[in-house]
Amino acid sequence: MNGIKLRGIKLLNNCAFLSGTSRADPVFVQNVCSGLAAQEVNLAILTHIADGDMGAGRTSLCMGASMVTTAFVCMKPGTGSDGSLQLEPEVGMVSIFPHEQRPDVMGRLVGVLAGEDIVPYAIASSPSALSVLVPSTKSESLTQNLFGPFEFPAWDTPREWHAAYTGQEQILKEIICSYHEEIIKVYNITSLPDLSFWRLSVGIEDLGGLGAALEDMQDLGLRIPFLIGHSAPEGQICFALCLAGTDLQRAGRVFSDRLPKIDPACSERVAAFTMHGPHFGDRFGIAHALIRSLRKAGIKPLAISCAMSSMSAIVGAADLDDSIEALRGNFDILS
Amino acid sequence: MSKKYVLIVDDDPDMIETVGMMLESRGYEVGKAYDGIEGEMSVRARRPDLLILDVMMPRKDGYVLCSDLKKDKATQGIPVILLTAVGEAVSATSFSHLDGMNTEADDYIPKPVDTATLVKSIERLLN
Repeated sequence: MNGIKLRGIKLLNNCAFLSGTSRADPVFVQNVCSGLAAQEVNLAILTHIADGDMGAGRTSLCMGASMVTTAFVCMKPGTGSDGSLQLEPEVGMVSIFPHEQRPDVMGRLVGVLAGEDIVPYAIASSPSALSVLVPSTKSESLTQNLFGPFEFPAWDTPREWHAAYTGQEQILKEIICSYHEEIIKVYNITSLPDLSFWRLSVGIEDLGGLGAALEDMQDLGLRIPFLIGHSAPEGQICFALCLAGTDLQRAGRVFSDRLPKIDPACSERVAAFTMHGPHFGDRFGIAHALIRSLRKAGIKPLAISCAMSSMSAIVGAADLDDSIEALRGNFDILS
Repeated sequence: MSKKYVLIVDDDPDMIETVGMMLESRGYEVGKAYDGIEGEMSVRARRPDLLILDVMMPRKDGYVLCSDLKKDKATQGIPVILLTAVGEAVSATSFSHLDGMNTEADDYIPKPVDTATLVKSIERLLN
């Protein structure tokens, strides 16, 4: 098996993970993000899957470990008596790039997790990167085991990579919060109008099958512009991903071949938009601004992925134009 | 007429994607490098018409790379635009504006980058 050529890996340790569901609070994610904005909590990752026929929606967050108590206080009240809350205080975030929407990059990453028996707390995608949250005790071994399945021209070995990155985390920590515009600047918004939206829940024993399915999709020439995942109760991992609307049947066949016991839920006629370059990770409040803008326009996103510098959301195809219009009214779109 | 070749060096892959997309839509050919060393190798493998450099990068930061290229006769003529975080963030780090000025970069644009400002700067430096 040849390694897939990528250009970079990033590892951010000393993070924490917080994830919650609420059956009672219809604006759970909005309230959580509002609290985080008020408390000036920067996020490294936000993923959200709305309520659907696979159960209650879930919102997952990654932030600096020192902010997790503050974030917990923001999330706890909304979970109510029948919601759930998961807090992991010692988490590492491993990111690889660029994925170029290639299913085999995503599949290979999932395959490495399966091979190492690692249940990821969350996976998020940005236009260029895939980020995965794992226990901090596993982050070093995960980065090492990415060498082989992937190739990184700048580094032949994990040791070379590690040496290059030593000390970099401190620099990142020094930049506390860089941006304070009244209206948040975004470089541009791009959209994909005709997609299908898939959700599936797999156990650790099926993670390898999912990785293989994604690699099969590469052979069929499919592209995945959006992928998120998060751990759920009973050891399950819930994934949500988008494919072109025209690839619906081919994707369905791949899933049934590779994961015959899993029954993915599929919604047709959805759309995705991405806000490029709002420096998501450096700017508290930006997730709140996104969700509030959509909510004011009466739009409920099906899923959200915020990672690296970008924010992506999945909405019904009929809501795409209104979503972008709502964002244009609330963000300073530079192009 | 052949397209002008602009090399973007930044450790934020989304930033590279975004700026690259913006420049490609304006008719530029875009090269990408994800840290300072890769950036330097890319410059020496194929001389860009213009270089856009992030400041805070692993292995070799933008200040050092810019300074090295400006000291080298083979590369000192390449126009360099430095992109970095806004003033208050930079002053909280080991990357001071004074260091930036000492690199002899041709322009210095704070993030978040105003597209019009960046394009104007590129056009000015290429002409």
